[in-house]
Amino acid sequence: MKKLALFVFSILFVASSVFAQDKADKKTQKGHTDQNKFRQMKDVLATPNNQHTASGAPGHQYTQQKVDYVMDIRLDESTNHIYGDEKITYQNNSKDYLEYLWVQLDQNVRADDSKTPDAKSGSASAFFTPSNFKKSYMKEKKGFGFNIETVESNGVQLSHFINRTMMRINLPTPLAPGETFNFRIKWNYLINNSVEDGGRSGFEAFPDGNNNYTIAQFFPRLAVYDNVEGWQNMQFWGRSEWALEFGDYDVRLTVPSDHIVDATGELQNEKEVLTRLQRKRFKQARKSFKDPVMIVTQEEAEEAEKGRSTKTKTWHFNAKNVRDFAFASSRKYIWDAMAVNINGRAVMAVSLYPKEGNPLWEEHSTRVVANTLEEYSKMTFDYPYSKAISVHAKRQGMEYPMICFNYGRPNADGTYSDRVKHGMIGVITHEVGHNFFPMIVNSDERQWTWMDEGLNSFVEILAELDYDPNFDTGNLPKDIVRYMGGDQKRISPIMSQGDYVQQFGPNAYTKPAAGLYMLRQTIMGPELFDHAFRTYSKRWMFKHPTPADFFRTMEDASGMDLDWFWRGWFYTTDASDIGIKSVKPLYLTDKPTQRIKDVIKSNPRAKAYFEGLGDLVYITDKKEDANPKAMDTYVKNAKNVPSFIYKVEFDKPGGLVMPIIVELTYADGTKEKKTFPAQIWMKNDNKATRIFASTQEIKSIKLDPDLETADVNTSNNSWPKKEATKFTKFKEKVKG
Amino acid sequence: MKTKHIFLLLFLLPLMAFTAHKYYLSLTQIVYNNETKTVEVIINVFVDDIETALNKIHSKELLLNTKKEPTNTDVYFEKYLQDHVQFNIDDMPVTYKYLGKEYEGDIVYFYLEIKNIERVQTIEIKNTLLVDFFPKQQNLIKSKVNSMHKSVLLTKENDKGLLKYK
Repeated sequence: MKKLALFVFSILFVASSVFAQDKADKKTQKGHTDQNKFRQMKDVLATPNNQHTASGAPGHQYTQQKVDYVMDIRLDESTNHIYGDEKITYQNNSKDYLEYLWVQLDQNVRADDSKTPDAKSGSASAFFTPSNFKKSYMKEKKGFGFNIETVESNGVQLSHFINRTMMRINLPTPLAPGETFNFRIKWNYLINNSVEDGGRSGFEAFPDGNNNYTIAQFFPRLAVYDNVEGWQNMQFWGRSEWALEFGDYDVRLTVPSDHIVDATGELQNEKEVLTRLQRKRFKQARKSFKDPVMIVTQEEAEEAEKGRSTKTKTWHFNAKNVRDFAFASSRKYIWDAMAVNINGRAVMAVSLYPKEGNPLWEEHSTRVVANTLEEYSKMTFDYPYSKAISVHAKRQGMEYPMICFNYGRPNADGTYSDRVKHGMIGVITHEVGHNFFPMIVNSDERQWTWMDEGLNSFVEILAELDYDPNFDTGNLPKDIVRYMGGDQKRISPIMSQGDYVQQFGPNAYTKPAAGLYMLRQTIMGPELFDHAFRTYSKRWMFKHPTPADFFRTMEDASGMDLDWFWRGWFYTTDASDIGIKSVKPLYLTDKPTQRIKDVIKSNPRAKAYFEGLGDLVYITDKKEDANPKAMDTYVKNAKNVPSFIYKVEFDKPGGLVMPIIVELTYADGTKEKKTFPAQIWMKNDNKATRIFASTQEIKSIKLDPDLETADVNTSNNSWPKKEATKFTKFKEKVKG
Repeated sequence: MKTKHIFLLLFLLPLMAFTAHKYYLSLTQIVYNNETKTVEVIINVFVDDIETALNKIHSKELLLNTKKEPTNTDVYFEKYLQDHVQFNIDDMPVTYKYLGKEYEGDIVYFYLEIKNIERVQTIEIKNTLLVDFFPKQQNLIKSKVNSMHKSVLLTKENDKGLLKYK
């Protein structure tokens, strides 16, 4: 019986397409492979193995190298040089014999023979700073880049070769699996002025003669050797950031004795470098969970910046299980700190800033650090380090383990605009957030910018909205519409290596962040999403994840097939555009429609079938046949009969599949929102049809009313079409 | 890493990247309203970009969309638009009226009106918004005339476009 019913109804609904086929060209059509947008990602994801498993977790054969550093660093303020004596212990945990080690020499990106400036084509700028004019057109040699003094092991010089930002150290004998190799590099370099020469690290010179040193990428660092890339030794061109191994650091920083210093790791010799008063204040800060405590006040900093000590002091830091080390040093610093409760453990939120950062910095910096640690810990794992420091810098926004450099400077008179304030809150949240991605969930930045910037920008949205519910995060789905609707020639898929992507910011920051926000809010729901996101974070904390590990874990932990989303949003440049193609009112009637009459007439089996069904009501598009009371005799309360029936056809000019979010507005002004999952496009990628039945008239229909899906064209989102245009609305407004 | 300082970008793009919006795009939407015989134009640009440009040109600190924004900024906007956006309709230069502006987040919308246009077969647009300040600036033009959609992307090197509706 069921079969017959199916047969009959299929006649009813496919009749027109049968005719169409009859007219079709008789020529044999070409076949095609599976291009369905819901096909699984077998063709693009790496084959899983026992290192990176099919579930997205590290496998039982996963390995990771360990690199420990013991360093003596001297900052010479009079010549702006840094001198380093670096002892490295390289532990080969892989199953491979290594014939050489690769070391990153990032300072060489601005060396006089760097190829970075030559590798870009550019037109003339409209204006220059004199220093940049000299650099661009006068071939001024600045003398930046590493001077490598010694590379040796146990007193024996090691053969090595410097290929610009990468140095290969040839091992005397291949390093066996499980073995360690100890060696030493002595080096020095001229520090760049990061305001004039640029750079993620360097110093800012103040008119009072002081410098603010925000120092990073300052020592030769081991490249990553892993299960998927082998050596990650792609050159540092200046944009795509780093891949780094975890290890332990023991660092002595010798600086002018009147400098204040903070760095990655825990200070080992408080008594030697801090005053009794500073130590007492620190003790208070460790118990102050509400407000920051001043360790060095503005008054004290202003006094200190008048001095010029020629003596030195050595600050000793230890850091366990970090992937990098950075520090800040200046006699201009105001210093404050407070405690943050991370699941019962006190972590210190710390800020260093010159008086030029006030009053903005004393008000917000440390509080934003604290808020960031709390919010990110909720979304990932408990922040495992002992502290997080925000250092004021004029133009940098740059992240390192436990320490980051952030911009946001008020005007000289201390006033500042909301934009400066929001920029500063945003950048501190972002850079402190990088502690989680990539400092702990240690993805390969050189290869995949989005894995740290995108994931970080996503959690940043939630942290910023927690700090200030009205914060304009700039990373929501609506914020990526202009980019995704732009010229396709200028857009790269997210899954592109960072050095060549076009429009880097929206590509690697906003689009992945907006996509994850959409997954959380619209596609998966916070409960499913958060569990999966946390699972990914925990699985890969202190490890090296790949994109496939992220995509697979999100599905593995949620029970949702998201391949369609990853494929569309991350692997293509397709945009989302869903529209209402037509809305057709239908009517309830007791009169058999013409088509049913025809079927009964032409097919004796159908006649028998219909007769066997007993009483029937019909749906027609002919208004004159309408009988809203046709169902009344069959129901207890005739008021509940939905006699307003609409056939709505949706089309999809955009390449992406997305849920269809429909907002119905009824005659009495009430609204109802219905969401159809993206799978509605599974069988037909171009159109979808739904019937809406209601007890009252539907006045209007709107798609994606809350701008959740990054629909690049909203002009087809409304029915009826006539909505006052933006232009008319504005004109009305100016007229008053 | 995240860097919002725009000047720096000009010199150091490979060394540091990022601005608040991190890309440089303006959008000009042109609609011919057959009923009112008016060409309606909405141009949107990023607030901080136009602020950078106007501050530089006038050596001012305009602080747009803040409480400190001067009351006369429309004068600067109108002048800047007149200098950098021009239209020819059916080969004739036309003038437009600047109706005003509207802020929305980090974007500012400008409303322009070209009146008494009996028919439109071609629109030629010259748009050099912000290209002097941001080498990567793109100015996207979208239009709808007689139910035809035409668009063109303009840049510093290629700052004129011809849109045909016949």
